[in-house]
Amino acid sequence: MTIGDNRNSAGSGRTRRITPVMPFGPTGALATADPDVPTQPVQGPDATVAGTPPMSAVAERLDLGDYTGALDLATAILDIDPDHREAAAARRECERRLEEIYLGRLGPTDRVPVVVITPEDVLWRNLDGRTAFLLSRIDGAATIDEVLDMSGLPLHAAGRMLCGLVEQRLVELRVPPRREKRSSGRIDTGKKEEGGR
Amino acid sequence: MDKVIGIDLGTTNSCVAVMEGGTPVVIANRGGYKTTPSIVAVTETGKRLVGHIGKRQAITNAENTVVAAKRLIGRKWNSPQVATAIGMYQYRIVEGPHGDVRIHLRDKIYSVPEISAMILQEMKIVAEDHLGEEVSKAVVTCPAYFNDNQRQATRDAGVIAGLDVIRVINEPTAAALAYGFGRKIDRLVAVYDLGGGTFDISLLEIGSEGVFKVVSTAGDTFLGGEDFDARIIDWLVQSFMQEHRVDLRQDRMAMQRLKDAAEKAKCDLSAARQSEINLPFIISTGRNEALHLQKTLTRENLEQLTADLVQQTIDICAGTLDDAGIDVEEVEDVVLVGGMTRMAKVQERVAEFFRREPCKGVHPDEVVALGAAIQGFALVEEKSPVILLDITPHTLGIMVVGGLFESIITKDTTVPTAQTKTFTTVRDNQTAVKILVMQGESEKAEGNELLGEFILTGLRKAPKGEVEVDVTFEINADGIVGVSAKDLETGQKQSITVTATSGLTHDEVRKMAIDSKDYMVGRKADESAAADVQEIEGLAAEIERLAPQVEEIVQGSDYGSEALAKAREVLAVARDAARTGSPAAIKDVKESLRRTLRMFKAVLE
Repeated sequence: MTIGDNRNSAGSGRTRRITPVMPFGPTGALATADPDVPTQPVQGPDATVAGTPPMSAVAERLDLGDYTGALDLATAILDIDPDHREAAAARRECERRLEEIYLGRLGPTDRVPVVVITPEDVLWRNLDGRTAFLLSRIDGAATIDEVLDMSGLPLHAAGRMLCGLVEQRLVELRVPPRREKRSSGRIDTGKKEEGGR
Repeated sequence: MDKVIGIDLGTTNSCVAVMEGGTPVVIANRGGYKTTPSIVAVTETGKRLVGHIGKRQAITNAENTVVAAKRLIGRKWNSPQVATAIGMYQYRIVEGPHGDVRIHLRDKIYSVPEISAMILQEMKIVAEDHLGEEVSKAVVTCPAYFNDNQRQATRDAGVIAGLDVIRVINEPTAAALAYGFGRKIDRLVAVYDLGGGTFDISLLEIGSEGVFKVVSTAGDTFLGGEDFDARIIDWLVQSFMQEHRVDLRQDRMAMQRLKDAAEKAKCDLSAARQSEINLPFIISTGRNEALHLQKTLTRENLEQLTADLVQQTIDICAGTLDDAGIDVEEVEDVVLVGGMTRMAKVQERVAEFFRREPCKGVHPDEVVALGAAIQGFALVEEKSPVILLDITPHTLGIMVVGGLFESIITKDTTVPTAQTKTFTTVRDNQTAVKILVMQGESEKAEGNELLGEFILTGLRKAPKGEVEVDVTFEINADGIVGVSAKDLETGQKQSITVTATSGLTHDEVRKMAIDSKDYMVGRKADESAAADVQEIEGLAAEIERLAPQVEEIVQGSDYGSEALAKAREVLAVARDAARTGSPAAIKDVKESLRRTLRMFKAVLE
């Protein structure tokens, strides 16, 4: 049994938190995060700059649960109009949902990712530069939480890449050594028996 | 007796040691490493990363990662070193409210002692994990050239980290202490310290009675292992550019990987003749094609790339011996400190210059922390076998007529010390003199640092040059400077104690110490909760593993069905408790899980 999903690692000092849920209206129109800010009407195709996807397309993708697609479309809108509130809200929502999905798939984030193929075998895989960077942060000692932190990537993106590496069997997630609390209430790192004593 | 830890608070790496059974030992951190990178970062989510984790994202998150805070500690905003650092680092260095230096990370501004405190706190935790008890006292090392303000800032960092820094000692002194520990020797030793970011050469006299005296010290605060890494990175970037016409410098992730690989290759070459650098998929090109970097670096390559850096250290050694009036033949042993001294070429050049093989009996990464631990032990132990005689790193004196600087205690004087010089009035009927206390090596007063000032009044009215005033400078064993001026005729006297300032007020230090303590309380609570969740998972997994066997045994009995149903209920509650992370729920369910497991085991026995 695996209990818990989004716990952080002991060394990080903070629980990984998911941003608050952005409520959706029944028609797929986004409500704003700030109640004082009036909701913008959904922009139709006419309201968009040529080549920019309409907000309705984002909402459709969201309704279908295609958060990656919706994120791409919302990002495309924001590339043209960085102040587009609905697109920004949709993007945050997509990121939050994707974080939930990928972190949920990874399980407890105090597990330790371990690269299980040889460096030579890595060459035969089809990786992009960012995923290879994430892979290079995995040293068999850092936890999922720490690897995600070190990646410097948005959580949803790093989570997706790490899931991909696990699914492609380049990486395994292992349970960290057991933590034991001491009576003094001090921090126990779980690796105290190794070396240097 | 309280345990005192010794901390080598380095520019690039830090190390902690303690005396155990009369022997100093270095303590490994949770990753099993005996040194911890002196790096502090704040992530986008506000999380603090200290040590190895911080280092492995230092380039990709350069704006929010503080490296080499030691180069800034205790410095004034307008100092040339700060100007150099501003041009060198990507994190934002800003002016503090007291003309000091602050660092802007994400949405918060930190003082430099606060950043150093985060590293000290990490070292404190490493020691506490090892010792199984809380540690509150420490001896911290600093470069011999640190002035009073820098030393005070180091002490403040200790206070913020929850440590009582009972002594700040010079790094070469600490190294010599470890070198001379348990040996009755009487010799002049050179300490050649090439660390990650700085180079220092010091000459010390070690006496058979356990007396350690720094004779002379010099160095370069911007020369170290990172410059060697940079040469390897440049070589890799240029080779890649020639091969693929792609500039890796434009990609931070690629540069982070290059930095990691360069450091690893450099370390490998201390033992091996060549090192393979393989960085698959180092960069994706616009054509959606990923490129690999594969190079072989030989020891000869590395030596060629860095020959001038090694030569710079040798030149500084030569200059220091000249300044001290010591012939190289008089140096009786050479102690190597800092990871870079593992490089074969460095050892070779040092041996060539000093005309003797350097001492291999002390570990270059650990020796300073070990010395600090020895000193810590000596300070709390009544029968201390060690006496430290440090030196003044800068000349102390006063401003005299014409804006000139008159030295009273010269650089490299052994402390404690007291020196007096007599001055006369410079104007007819002069009834007061203003004493401007300064430190530095410039002949002009304006080129030196003002430490304090006071006025001696009530002098007899007389033609210029007739009234004589004695000015005495005194430095005690703790490095506190006292200055007094006395009218020789009337005996009238005025004095001041020069108080070092780190750039922080007492209130600021106190508040930062409280904030730091709060952070640790939060961190401990988080880690304690994580440990609880882990324990729950372990108990639950064990119950699930045993459940089928128990079910087989108790099949059909009312009691058995009831017990199994209860166990399932407990497991469901455990899942909820772990998900919510509620401490109360976790505590309750942990006990239930334990009971269930005991019951299962009893059934199976």
